[in-house]
Amino acid sequence: MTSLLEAKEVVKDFGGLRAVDHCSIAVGKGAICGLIGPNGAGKTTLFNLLAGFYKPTAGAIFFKDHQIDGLESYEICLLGLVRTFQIARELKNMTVLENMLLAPKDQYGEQLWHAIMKSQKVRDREKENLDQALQILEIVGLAHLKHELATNLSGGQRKMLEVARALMTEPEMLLLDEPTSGATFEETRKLMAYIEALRKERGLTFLIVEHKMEVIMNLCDRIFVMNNGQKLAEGTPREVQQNPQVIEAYLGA
Amino acid sequence: MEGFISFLLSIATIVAIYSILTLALNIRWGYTGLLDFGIAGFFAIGAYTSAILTSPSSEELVFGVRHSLGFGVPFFGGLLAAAAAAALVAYLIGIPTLRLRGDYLAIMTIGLSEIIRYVAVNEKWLTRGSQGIRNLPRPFSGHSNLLDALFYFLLVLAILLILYLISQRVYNSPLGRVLKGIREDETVTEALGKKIFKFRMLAFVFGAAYAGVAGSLWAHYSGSIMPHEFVPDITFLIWVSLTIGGSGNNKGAILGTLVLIGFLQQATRFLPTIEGYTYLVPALRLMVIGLLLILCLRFRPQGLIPEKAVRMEKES
Repeated sequence: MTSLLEAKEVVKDFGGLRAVDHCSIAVGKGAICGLIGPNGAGKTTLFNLLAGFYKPTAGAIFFKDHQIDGLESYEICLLGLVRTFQIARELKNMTVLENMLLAPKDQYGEQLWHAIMKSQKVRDREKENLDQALQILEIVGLAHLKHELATNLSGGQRKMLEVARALMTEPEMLLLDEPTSGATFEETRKLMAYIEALRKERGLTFLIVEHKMEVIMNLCDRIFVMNNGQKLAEGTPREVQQNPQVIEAYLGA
Repeated sequence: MEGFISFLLSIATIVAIYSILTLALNIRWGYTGLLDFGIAGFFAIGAYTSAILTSPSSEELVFGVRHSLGFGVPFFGGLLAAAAAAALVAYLIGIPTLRLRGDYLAIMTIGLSEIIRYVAVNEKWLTRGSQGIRNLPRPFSGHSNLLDALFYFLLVLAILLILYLISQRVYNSPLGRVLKGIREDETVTEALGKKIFKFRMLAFVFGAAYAGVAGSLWAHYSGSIMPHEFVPDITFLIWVSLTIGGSGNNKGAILGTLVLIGFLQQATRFLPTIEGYTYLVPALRLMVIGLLLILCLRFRPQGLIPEKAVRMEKES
């Protein structure tokens, strides 16, 4: 199986600090992969590299045969790789629906002339997007809050909105940074089921950073473990759990 | 009686022209969150473009410099050119500045508006320097003074209405959504596949075109323009108007301008001065404006008419 997303020997230095140290990962199409490691291991930095927020000091990143290190984050999103944020970044003074409808790509109504004329083409596209947004909101359990300002949502609801909004860009792959932190038990279960369904029905690929082990171990086919900026281990959930190095990194010597 | 009516008409015209400036700032700051202090500069560009184009050509000596510019273009030509010139300057200035973070953009834009004013002071061949350009034609004139004023007011009002409607359309469109997204969190908006620079530029240029139109209308309203009319005070009065009225809301922008420019700035223009304290009343006026702003920020920070969330329902 060829990989959809591949990072090769990626390095990121901040001044004298090496946050990511020759890290290589490969995620196959349709896979659900986990990225775990103790705090400060470099998981979020690696995410920022993959999503185009940082440029790697060395190494290369490929997505669908495009070399994406060096691209801007909006270009990476348009290629079909979208991320969510560890701390939910909802657009506060916009409603849940507005948050959702911002995301779709190629909206005619984003061009000045079409925006002013509000042509049929714009309205049709808007209706399509609205239907899709309502469908996704229904699944993640936010439909009843569609006209609420995003700032009024609870922590868990904001995390749900992050994922829902990312899906509106019609991605092929999602990078989820702790999608269930702050979510209730019920919300977590709902999201896990949804991720499974998205993979099964639409062939989406996931790379997930998560601290809740029950989420990672039940959801992922493959897990990458990071420690001190390096990839410590890689394998199925079972292999990783039995790896003595991983146990040592988590529990300390 | 006639004097009073023409006084009211002049206030109404000034408020309508300034409302266009407030709409311009609302597009830039209210929608997009661009910290822009350069409105007066684009106002000046519009005014001078229109003034130079619509003046009849002449061969006057001004301070020993031959001022021969003047093209006799009709009013509406000057109006469109004013919008285009302001937009073009905004585009050129936007290329280096719109990548800057908010506070740097603020410094750049206020500097820019002062540079434009000094160009108007110094390039006498073009602008006649501090003498200013006089005897500007006013459209639909040649009747009685009162009728002329009334027609011009109606013209300005019609243009304000059109620009208001365009602004509203943009606000409620997918484009408006992206602009608001940039205001709320540009990192997220970019991560969702939007090219931020392009949209910031669009808001900046669009606002400049509005300010250019206002400049042209101002020039033909007052009949003469001078560089010192375009000091940054205008920019700050517009900021206060927008803040009091309701940033992000076009109706609020116009209401704020009416309250601040109409009631405080213009309606009190002819208050009697107090014997021995010539500067007391004008100074008090500024104090009242300051006080109003503070009270507004303390008790109604969202403005008189706050921004409304766009409700999207299924269109059948």
